[in-house]
Order: sequence, then C-alpha cells, then structure tokens
Amino acid sequence: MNYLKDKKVYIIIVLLYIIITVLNKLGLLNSYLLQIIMLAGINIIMTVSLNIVNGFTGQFSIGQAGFMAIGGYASALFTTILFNTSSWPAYAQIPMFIFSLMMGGLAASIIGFLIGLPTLRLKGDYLAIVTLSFGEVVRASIRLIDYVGGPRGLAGIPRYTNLFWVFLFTFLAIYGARNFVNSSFGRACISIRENEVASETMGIDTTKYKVLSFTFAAFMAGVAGGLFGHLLMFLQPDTFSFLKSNDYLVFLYAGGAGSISGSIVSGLVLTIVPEMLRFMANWRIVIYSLVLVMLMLKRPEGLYGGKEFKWLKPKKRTVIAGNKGAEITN
Amino acid sequence: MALLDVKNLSIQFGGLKAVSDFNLSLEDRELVAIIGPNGAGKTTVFNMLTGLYKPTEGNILFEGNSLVGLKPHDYTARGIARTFQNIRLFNNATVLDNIKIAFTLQVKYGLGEALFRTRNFNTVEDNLELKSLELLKILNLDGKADFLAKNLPYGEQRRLEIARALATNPKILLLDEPAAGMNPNEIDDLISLIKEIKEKFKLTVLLIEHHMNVVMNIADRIKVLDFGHTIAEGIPAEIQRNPRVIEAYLGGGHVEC
Repeated sequence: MNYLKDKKVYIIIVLLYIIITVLNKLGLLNSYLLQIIMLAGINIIMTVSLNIVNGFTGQFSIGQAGFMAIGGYASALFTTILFNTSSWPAYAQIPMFIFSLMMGGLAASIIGFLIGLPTLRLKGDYLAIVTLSFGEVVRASIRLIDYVGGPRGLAGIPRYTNLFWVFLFTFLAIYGARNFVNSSFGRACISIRENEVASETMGIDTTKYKVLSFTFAAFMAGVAGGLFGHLLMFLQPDTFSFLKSNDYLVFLYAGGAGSISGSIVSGLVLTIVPEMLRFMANWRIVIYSLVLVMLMLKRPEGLYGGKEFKWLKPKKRTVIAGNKGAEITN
Repeated sequence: MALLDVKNLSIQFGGLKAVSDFNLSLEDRELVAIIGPNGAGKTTVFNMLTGLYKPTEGNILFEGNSLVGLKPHDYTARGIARTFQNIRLFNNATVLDNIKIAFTLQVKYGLGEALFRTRNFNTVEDNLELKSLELLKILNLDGKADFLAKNLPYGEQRRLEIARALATNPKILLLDEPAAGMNPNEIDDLISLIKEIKEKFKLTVLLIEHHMNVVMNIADRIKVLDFGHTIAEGIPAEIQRNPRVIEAYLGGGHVEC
C-alpha cells in the first residue's frame, strides 16, 4: 500500500508535465507562459536550496544568487565558450548540457565549501553580512572578467533548457532535499538550528555539518543557475545582484522556512502572480508587496511554516517483529 | 587506572578564578555527586569536562588520554555525555527525532546513500527508529514519540534530556541538576531511574544536585565545592557531619537531609 501511495506523487508529476506539454502544443499555452513556468521551476530549486541553509540549518545566508551566477557562468563556459556545442551533432549536445549543469553545480559547491569553511563560524548578522558581500563580490568579479563577457554579459548560450529538464531537475532538487532533511545529515543540521551547544554535546561536529549543508545548497543553486542561463540564452552579471538574492529570501520566508512544501508553493505562486499582475503596470509591485505584508502579519511563520505535504514528511518506519536492531552500532 | 582523572583543573574568566585546583578521580561504575552553594563552580566544572570551556590550567585524562583542547563533540565521541541544568532540547523536533539526532555518531551511511535512499540506508534508519523507541520506552516516554519536544511537561523534558544523553552511548554520564523543578514524587522516580540506567548501561555517573535526598540516596562519594575550591570530599555520612560543608551551606547550623 505504502508503495502505491509513494507512487501517486510521481504519477501527478508526470501528468502535470503531459498536460502542460499538450496545452502548449494545442496553442493554449504560449511560449511566454511556458517560460514563466520554467522560471518558476528554477525559482523552486533556488528557494529549496536556500531553505537547506536558512530553514533547516538555521544559518542566515543571504547571497544565494552568487552561487547561481557561478553555476550559470560555469555551465555556459562548457557549452558556449570552451566548446561551441550548438555546432555539434544533436546526440552530443544533450549529454554536454547535463555535464555542464553538473560542472556548474560543482563549481558553485567548491566555492561554497571554500567560503563556508571560514565564515560558518560566524553567527547571525555577521554571517549575513559575509554572504551578502560574497554575492556582490561574485557579481563584481564577473564584470571584470572579459573572457566571459564582462559587464556586457555573455550572449549566444544555446537554449537547451526545456520543460522536461526543468521538471526533472526541480523534481530531483525536491527529492534530494527531502531525503537530505530526513536523514541523519538533515537531522544533524536541524539540531544545529535548534540548539548549537546541545548539538555539539550530542557528538555532532557542527562545523562539518554547517559546511556540508552550505555546500549542498550551493550545488543546487549552481545547477539552477545553469538551467537559467540555458533558458534565457544570455547571462549578465547584474542579474545576480543582491535584489535576486533578496527575491529568494522573500520566497523562502513567505513559504515558510524549514518547510520544503512552502518553498515549492511560494516559488510557484510568487513567480506566477507578479506576471499575472503585469496589466497593472507599476501598481503590481505595490500589490505584490502588500500581499507579502499581509501574509507576514497573518502568518509570520510563512504559508507552510511547520507543515509538509505528506510525500515530504519523514517516513514512518514500522517496526518489523524479530528485527534485532543490529547494524547501527559498531 | 581510573576511568576519568582530573588533575588541578582551573579556569579563570578575566580576573575571576571560577574553579581552582579541582581534582577528581572517577572509577568505573562509580556515582559521584558534586554539591555546593549557587555559584560554587559546579556547572563550570561540567562545562570543562565536556569541552565547552577550555581550562586555563590542569588536565583531563579519560582512559589515560588527555582531552584538553578537543572539541565538545570529540568528548562525546569518546564517551562523555551530559544533560543541562537549563534544558537544551531540540525544541521544534519531535521527541523521537531528538533521540535520533543523539544517535548521529553511530549512524553509518554516506551522503549518497541518504540522498538516493539505498537499501542500506533504509535498514540503518529502520534499526535507528527501533533503537530510539526502545530507549524512549526505558525512559517511559514511548507514548510521546511524535510530540514536539517543547510541548512536553517539564519533568518529561528532563527525562528526554537523559534519554538523549544515553543515546550517544556514553561511558560517563554527567547529570546537571536532574531533579531541579521536580515535585517529591517525580524525584523518587528519578532516583530509581538513575539507579536503573546506571546498571543497565554500565555507567559511571557524575551528578550535580541540590536535593540532598537524591544525593545522599545514590552517591558513592560526594565532593563539595564553594567559591571554586573543593572544601570537602568523602562518603555521604562524612559529608553530612563535616563542619565546613555545614558552614558553606548555612553559615553554621544543621544540614537539611
């Protein structure tokens, strides 16, 4: 029974993908709307990644767009600058795209590791200032590197990102985050959020787990950056300014820090709603902000604060009679 | 050889010498209590014995190895666990997760296995849940496994702290005022609980407590601290009659037992 219940979510995801594709093919969903859906997926990955650090590990990091930029540029390096993959045969392009996404994630996570190691000893406001500066350092540095286009940006990136890849990677990010959080790694992170001193005295190497969560989140953000670059076909350093990091903070806290479900819902809703409000021109920013103010007044813990969809909850492990409980010690 | 050998442990905060020349030799399976008036430096000793404070002078030898300079989690990994006077649970995690977190050191699977939920991961997690529930049962908390730790009544929060410390598989358990805020009934239960877990988990226990009926009931030896100095040491009967102890507590007169 459990097996079937687990499968339900996968079926829904596949159905959703088919419906969107069919609607698009029938002309009921134009490419503009399709693009917004894809951006929503990328935003979900970003929000989930920020959630790992801020929501679950309790470290206040606010430079997530910096990792996105690193991932975006690193992956474009492989598909656009080093190799001109658009002239490659079709069968070689896709593997190269996936490879470049992984390289984007890897580059972001390496930088995340290097940044995290010294800075995660800092707490609260101090960590926030360091991560904020980090994001700006990334942006300013890319502006200075002529090899990747400098302040003009990097154009001519092939459009490899499509609905399928967005669906796949968004799903993988959510699946990975769920499994991370509901493992001893995620629980160790949660214990750091809840009480760092107690966490240490429970034998948890808090520095190690903080760096791990930071690196893991940076990897996700890097992959999201790669998808982003190959969707818009153009990367410009100023896209990844503090404002972008700020967007993801808003997504995270509106959805509920520490709830993956919240990140999914807010990533989706807060990407789509401002677009729907476009007919109101500049008033849309006012409305959008007012909605957020109302939300924070009514539900300061965020939409899904403290709640999860059933699929994302930890698995109830029924105890089998005769199970000796071996294996975990020694 | 003593299990824990503490030699001339001192710590200074600015101009204040909070603990000076603290010596302690704990034999295997012993239960030693540290008592003393408020501010005597008892919790400071615990903080040094668990690596939270680095002593200014002195040495801590555990099974013959010096622990000074290691991180708190290394102390725990070697077998020293503790509870806190001011309860420090993982409040927004369930009771079960509080225990599972304390088991982290003994969990053996890699990040990759966790991310893809391999068979090994599932076996380990199944067993982990089983062991955690067993432990909760011993501490009489198994009915509360799904509660958030912050929603437990005070006495149960204290028991959960003990359960969590036991999950780290300690050789020495440091209990910092486990009876604080408990009513007489709860205290009686606590006394039998401490005796029970000491046998069951083959523990050596170091206890800070103000309730004298707890201390006199279960301690093999007692050390008395006052203003950071050890003023007396001995078996309970000796301590009860020791004039310096009586003076430290009451400024002369009777000791309440």
